[in-house]
Amino acid sequence: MARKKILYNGLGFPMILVGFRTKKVQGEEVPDVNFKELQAKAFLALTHKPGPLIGAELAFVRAYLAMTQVEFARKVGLANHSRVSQWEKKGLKPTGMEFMSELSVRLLMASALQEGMIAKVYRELSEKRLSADTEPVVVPSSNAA
Amino acid sequence: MKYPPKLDRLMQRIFDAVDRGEYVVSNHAYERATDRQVPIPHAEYVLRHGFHEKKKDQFKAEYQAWRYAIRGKSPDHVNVRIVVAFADDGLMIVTVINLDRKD
Repeated sequence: MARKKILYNGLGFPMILVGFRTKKVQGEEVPDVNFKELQAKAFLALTHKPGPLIGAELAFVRAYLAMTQVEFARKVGLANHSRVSQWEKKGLKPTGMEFMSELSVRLLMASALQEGMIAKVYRELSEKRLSADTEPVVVPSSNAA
Repeated sequence: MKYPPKLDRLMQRIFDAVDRGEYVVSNHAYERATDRQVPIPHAEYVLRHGFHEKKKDQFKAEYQAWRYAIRGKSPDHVNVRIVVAFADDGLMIVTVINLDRKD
């Protein structure tokens, strides 16, 4: 049986949820999931996203890491935070950041995850580079992983 | 028309639901360009630290339920209004509005 897929925008950017149960709340079908867990899964999926991050995804990532734009800019080696602001303002379009900045962001994200993730993400990005794929990130439920 | 009473201890109920991750977000919460740039962790921050903007509450006859407006500043100092509802299953974030953007 095919796993149910839904396009969901509830975190501020589009993502495809796979294998999640849904429920109807006030006439709308929404994922039946704990939102702390959903955010953690989305963050993990974005860390491994084959294509470039879009502005709204970057805004989510920074907020999830509880960093100001100034702190985030420092962590990824930018001279000032205005670049972060420009990238986030791209909204649903790719940030347009150059590859080395994207790599820095992904490694920062990996550092917030479990041990060994930095090397894995580095290998993924340095070997495959980024695809031109701008499809929404896919977030599997635990059962669908 | 007589509306049903509003919930008591609204902010505490919201705080508890957000704290446990037990809420849902409408697909339409981020529908408009003006709603973006308020990522969901920042919306959570506003729900934890904001105040109940009672005059902006609306009764939704279709669902026979109140929609409550919560106002506050995000960690990025953006003025935000969040419209929430309590359905049978708990808290739902209906809309997130960035009040500082005009587009």
